[in-house]
Amino acid sequence: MISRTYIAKRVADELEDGQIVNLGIGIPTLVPKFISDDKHIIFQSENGIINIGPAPKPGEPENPNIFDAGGSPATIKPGGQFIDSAKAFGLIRSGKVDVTVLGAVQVDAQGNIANWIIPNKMLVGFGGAMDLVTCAKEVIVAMEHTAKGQIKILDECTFPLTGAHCVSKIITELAVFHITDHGMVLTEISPKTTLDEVRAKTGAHFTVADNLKVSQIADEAVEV
Amino acid sequence: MAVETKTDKLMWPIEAIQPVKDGDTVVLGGFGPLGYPAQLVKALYLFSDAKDLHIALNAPNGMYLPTLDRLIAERASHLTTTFVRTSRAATKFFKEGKLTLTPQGTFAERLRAAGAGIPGFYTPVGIGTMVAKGKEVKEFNGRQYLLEEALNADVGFMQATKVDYDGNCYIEGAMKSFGALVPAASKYTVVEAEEIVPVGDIPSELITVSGIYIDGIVKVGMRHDQ
Repeated sequence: MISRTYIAKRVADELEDGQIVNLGIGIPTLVPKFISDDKHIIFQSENGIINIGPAPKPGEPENPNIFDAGGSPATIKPGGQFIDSAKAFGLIRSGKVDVTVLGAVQVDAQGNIANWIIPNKMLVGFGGAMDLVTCAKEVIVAMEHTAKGQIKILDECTFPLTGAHCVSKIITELAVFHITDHGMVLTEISPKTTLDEVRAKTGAHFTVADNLKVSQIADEAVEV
Repeated sequence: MAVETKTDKLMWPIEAIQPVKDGDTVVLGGFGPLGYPAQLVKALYLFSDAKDLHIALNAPNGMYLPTLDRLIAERASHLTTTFVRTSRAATKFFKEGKLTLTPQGTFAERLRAAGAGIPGFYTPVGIGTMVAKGKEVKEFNGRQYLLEEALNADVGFMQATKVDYDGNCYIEGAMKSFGALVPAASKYTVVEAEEIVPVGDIPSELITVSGIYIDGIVKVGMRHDQ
């Protein structure tokens, strides 16, 4: 759990005041609770909510008609709007979403992402992921660095793609990578890891930024 | 002011499913179990013989919507959907090549286009993936786009929060998602109403779907599939 909240906190730092952001299910849904108060960010949910709020607090009435794209109960903030799915995706396709944050089964050094099928094992489907990775201005993959030891960051995805050349950043509990025209660049590592560990757990070639940072986030301080 | 009400749209689910015939494209509203026309699907499964159906909806869910999974497995020959994970029937259709897996925004736009009289549209979504297979690609301003076609349905089933006797629908909150798109995309539409009210009760500004698109109204009996 600690690595998940660490990742969410790190993603929160990446988001900027005034942005319109779409969050995928899983780790990305933890991001809003770590947004600092000085940033005003509008979260859009592709099932038709502009300015979606957090889940109702215990004891607060739940409205069964307000839920997020994962089907979990949610709230809407003052000034938020409900729209149908054609409008929700019209907004996404026309480039109004600044950042989308989502998980991946595989992601590679060319910015390709695969998360809709594990061949011969599990078929998930696209949901709205394909629309989001194709059309959001910035695509951040937020995920655990490996899946039970399986390498997820590769030179080239081996699973069918959800999107081609679309990912700009990968944020894990160990590292932050930027995908550039000149390949993948390691820009930051977490305080609890080493460059050797990151290399061992990454299946892609990358260069190390001259000004490699060590993240200041202490994961013990991150509470769920 | 007394408003004359047309009540001939009110029907039982068993009447509502009568026009469904072999080979029809049936599109269903709902985002998961929410806004999903559980009662009409159950009636279609139990009281109709229609087969070779093409069923289209955002996401079947074997856990919440078991009747739909049986309907797909036993009576459909094709399925169009965006998300499959929790549906055994959909997973089987994928393996058998009977599933058109569609990005969610493309699915929504295919319905919108059908309701807008547009036969097809170009979208960048799916370029570089298996979605592009066999589709026309065209370049606009240096970017590649896929040709996707409208999804015209014979039958549409959806749910609304309030429906008046003329069929005007108010759909609350995020329940609008696909339910608001189904009626205009379908030749014949039946709505499941949580509440049925006199004409004029829903302020014109709050009508999500005009009654001109609605052929039948059934009263909701259950919120989810049971």
